[in-house]
Amino acid sequence: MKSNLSAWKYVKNNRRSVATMISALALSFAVIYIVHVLLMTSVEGFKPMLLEFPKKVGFFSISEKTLEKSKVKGAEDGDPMEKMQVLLDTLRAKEGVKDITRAQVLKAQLQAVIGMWSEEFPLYTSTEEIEKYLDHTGAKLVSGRLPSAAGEVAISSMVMKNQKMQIGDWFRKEAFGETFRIVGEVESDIMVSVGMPNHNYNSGTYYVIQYDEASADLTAYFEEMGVELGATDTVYDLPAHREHFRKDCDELIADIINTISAVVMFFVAVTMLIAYVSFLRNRVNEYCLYASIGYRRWEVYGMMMREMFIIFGIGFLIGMVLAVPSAILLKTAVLDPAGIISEAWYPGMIAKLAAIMLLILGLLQIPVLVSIWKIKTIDQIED
Amino acid sequence: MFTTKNLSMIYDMDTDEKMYALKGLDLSLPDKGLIGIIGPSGSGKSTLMYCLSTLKKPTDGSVCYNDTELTTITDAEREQLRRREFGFVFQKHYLVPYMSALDNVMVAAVNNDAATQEKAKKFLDALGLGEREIGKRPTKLSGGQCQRASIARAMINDPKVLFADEPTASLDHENAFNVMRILKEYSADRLVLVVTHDRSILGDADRIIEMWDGEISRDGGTL
Repeated sequence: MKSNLSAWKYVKNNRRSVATMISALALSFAVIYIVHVLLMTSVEGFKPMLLEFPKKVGFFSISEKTLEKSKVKGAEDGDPMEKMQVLLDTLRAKEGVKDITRAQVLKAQLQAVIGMWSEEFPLYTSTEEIEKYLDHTGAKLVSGRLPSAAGEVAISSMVMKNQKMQIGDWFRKEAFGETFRIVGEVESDIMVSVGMPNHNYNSGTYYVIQYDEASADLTAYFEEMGVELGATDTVYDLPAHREHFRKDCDELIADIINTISAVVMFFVAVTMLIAYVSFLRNRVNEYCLYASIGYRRWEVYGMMMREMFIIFGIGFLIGMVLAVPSAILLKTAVLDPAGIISEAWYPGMIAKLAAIMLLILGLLQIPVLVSIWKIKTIDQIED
Repeated sequence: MFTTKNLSMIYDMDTDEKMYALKGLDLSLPDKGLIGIIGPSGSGKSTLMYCLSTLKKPTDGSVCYNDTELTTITDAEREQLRRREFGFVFQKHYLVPYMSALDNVMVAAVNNDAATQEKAKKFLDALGLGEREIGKRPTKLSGGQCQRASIARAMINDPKVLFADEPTASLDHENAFNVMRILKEYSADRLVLVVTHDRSILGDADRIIEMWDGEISRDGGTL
């Protein structure tokens, strides 16, 4: 026997209350998606710095103290300088290692909506070294000229846009004063900057190593060579950057997004629960009529569930229709001009929101099942 | 069609002061005709109707419908009977507020095809609800129109038995007689049971059962 309990009838004939519920859901889903896009700028923005750049360039500095106490393979015990030389020679001989130069470094900064990341770039003493470096990293000068004198730097386009820098400006004047002048703009997918040191200023010295991804695990290399790395040593290689990315970007942002989503959806769930309880109460007589004229409880339950799916489904769809174009607009009109690297399309987040929607639907089973359980026939109402 | 034996309904079974709504009723009802059950409030007339229509399960005794013992059938069988063979007109119309009069009739229909829709319109028209009214929601209809829509709802599946509990309670005199006339016509080839305390509307009844304090005080007469 076909059930005539149509879910559309309620939806079509109660446009105001249904529209209120759909709007609340749609806006909640859209807000969560937009917040996700904004927060993910910290992940998208720092990806080139933390996951791509270290596949080509690494930095390290090992203290004399560490070298003294370490038994470096192939080196006599005692002289740390000799140990360092052995380490460098062995490293240079490794396949994929193109160059190791002791150089001063500077830090370029990149701002996201939440958080900022600083990454070292080398200051070479000759134009040849700079050209070699740009060639290795696949970066191209797109404006200005390459550094050719002390204190000149060529900065990544991404950083310049993000930090509102221009050729001719002092580089990070707030930190270095009038020490480094921007003379060129360099474009690269992995955010490459380079410069020449200012002899009046020591910005920190590292060994800068140009390698390929297969040789990018310097920590493992040093451990293999017998170096007991300690707190005074610095190794910025691919695994170190990946670890930073995992802990400080990916997981942290995921935690923040999950917390915000949980809080918003908790309030949405509570609101929907309250709204639904009152919505079900208003329809008690209707459900009792159905039970009295011979409809089975599961048929009434089926109608209620179909109504819920329609309301939540439309709410979800409208939410996504609002969210994705809004995210694209936000990206193109606000984030891109501000130099903040972002993405507008996150199918994973959409799937997550769909899962949240199902979770709320699951929660709403409680009042629905209670209502189904409580359905009486009209004789009981009239008693 | 219906036979009851020693039919009893006791409320507050667990307390010391048991309330008998029906006290050992023996009754036999035919396949067709308009039968009125009258009596004052609390006499048990509605309880009798609800026991016959399976909405209530009696405390004791038996209700036999076409050789089926209604007190022992499953919930599903009870629901099936109410859906396919019984029609209901309640004291209040219980129309679904967000549906049109036509949808309110169709919601009870076993079939949802064009022919049934046409039948629903015909019923509504015969009950005085024309094209203009059938699209209106209950809030836009008068009490009489709502009650007539609820009668059409009760008739839509051509039930073998139509139970009407105070069907004219919310109607004026003219509408009340119109409704009774429709029920009388309807009872030509099926059973229509009308529960009321208003003796005046039962002028056309084929049989009147009078109830008093859970018992049948008089059975068989007409006005």
